[in-house]
Amino acid sequence: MIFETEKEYCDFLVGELERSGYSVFQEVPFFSGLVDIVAYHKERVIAIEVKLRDYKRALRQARKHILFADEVYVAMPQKRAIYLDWNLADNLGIGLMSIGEDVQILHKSKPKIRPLTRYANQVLQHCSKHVSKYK
Amino acid sequence: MKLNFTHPVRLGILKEKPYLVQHFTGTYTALLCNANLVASFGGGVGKLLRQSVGRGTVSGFVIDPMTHILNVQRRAIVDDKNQIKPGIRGLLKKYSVPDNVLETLPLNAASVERMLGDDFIISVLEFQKKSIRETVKKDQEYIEFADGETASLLAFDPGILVAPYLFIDNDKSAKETLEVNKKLFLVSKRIVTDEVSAYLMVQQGALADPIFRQEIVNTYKNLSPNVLFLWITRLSEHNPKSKNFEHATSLVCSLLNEGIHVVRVYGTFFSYTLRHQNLIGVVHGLGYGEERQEIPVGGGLPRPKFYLQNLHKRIDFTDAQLYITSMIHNVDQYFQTICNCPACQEIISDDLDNFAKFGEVTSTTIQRYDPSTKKTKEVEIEYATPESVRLATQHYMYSKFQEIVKVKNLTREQVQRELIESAQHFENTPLVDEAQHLRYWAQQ
Repeated sequence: MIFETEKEYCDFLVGELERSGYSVFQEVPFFSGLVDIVAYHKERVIAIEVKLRDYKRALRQARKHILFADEVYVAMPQKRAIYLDWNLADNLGIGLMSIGEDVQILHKSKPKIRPLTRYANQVLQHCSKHVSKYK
Repeated sequence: MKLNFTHPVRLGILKEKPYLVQHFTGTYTALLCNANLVASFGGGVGKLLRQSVGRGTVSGFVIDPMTHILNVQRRAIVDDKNQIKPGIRGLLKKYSVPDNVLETLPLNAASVERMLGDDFIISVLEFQKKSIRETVKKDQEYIEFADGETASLLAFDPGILVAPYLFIDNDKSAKETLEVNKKLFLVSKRIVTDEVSAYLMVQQGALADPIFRQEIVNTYKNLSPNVLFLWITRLSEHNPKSKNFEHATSLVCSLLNEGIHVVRVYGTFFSYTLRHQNLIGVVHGLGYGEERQEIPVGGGLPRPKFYLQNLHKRIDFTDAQLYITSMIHNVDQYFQTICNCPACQEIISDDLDNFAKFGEVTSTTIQRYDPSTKKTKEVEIEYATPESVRLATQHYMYSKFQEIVKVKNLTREQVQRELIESAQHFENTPLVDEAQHLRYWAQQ
């Protein structure tokens, strides 16, 4: 599936996550930025930054999410994701998702640190105020 | 010259005053005050100077006459309705700039020379010389203070006068503007018997031409000012791969090689290291710190930031928290390797989790443009609380002080070695891409 905008990719990913049983929230405030997608299921929190091109920028944004999420991903169109050298992200434990016909995890997220309860609560409090737009 | 430029601080807004008279006494040595602030809030500035210079905790102050407002882009000096901001208008009135000239701003260098004569230069120098002293004299509170502490009104004369100057932009007017600046300095020297310093405010791009850089060096070598304040606008020393950094460093080193007493207006730890080559000081502000463009940028919601001393950079709080969580395992290690300033001692105390207080946020709803729908929409966003801003500012100021002490106590080679060690350290941290400048700085 080929989409044109970041929002279309986000929407597709949200649908896939919800089908897998996640509660999904978009544009969740975290400090001065917004997390593209926060997905919550069985007490595990996943944070995802969706980007069409600039994966270095995505990594800079995503690394902050390690503070509150059990798993952190950058999601990119499949045609780009499969060619990325993901070594850069090894230090951080950020995973990589590709979005094409379906959503695939190319690199599993393995953060080197455990999320801090303080920040997990901070994010989940915002989530509790939002109702997913797709429910 | 009685001024001590070891750690000069720029007073940008009066709101910064409490930091300077309460928390940081003894950590900074001189104040650079914006003239528009003095013109609009002379009483407040006078009070600050009474509590710092008057009590001998600070060696003195300098008023930046900010005469670049005559030729800087108009959007830097007007409000939303394209009217000249009242503070700027008030200052230019004090400089005897006629109303008809005010309406034609910005002027080019030739117009400044043609339309504003010696009266303008005299007014600029007189304003610096007298404004604070008169404010203090008028203030009844001063009398009570003076009774108790025998302060002399002489303490409220600026440590050095600054000759009027224009902004040298990155365009074909650069050489002509340098020439006018030279004349403004020479006339100032002729008019007053006090010590006069020069101020060079130049856009980084204008320094790309090596011939022009040499012309600048020759100009100030010949003028031989007591001090040359140097503000290279838009320059980011944290981006040392850029040619602009190379050109700026080349200019500064050439000026220093000629024995010119340079004070950098805005600069990072890198500029501190140039003290080993006889740079006499680096001014920084409290909040915005170490680099600025010539056009003021609006405030907006404060983002939580933290100055990481071994990185020599102010970074997003979340990145700092990530670094601390990944690399620091206990309070002792924090105090040994991150910072042991009074702000950190107070906040961290005996629990590393307290580091989070530097980044406390609250949230609000703002309108934001959504490119996908081409409409604005409401989004919730978090911003720093006044308390976390206060703590981060305190830590920042103490950090700058500690850096100055470090440069003073180490040799150039030791500083270079430390920078390389820091660069190597950050290669194995989550902030590897924030640390590119360290190795470059070490190589300069």
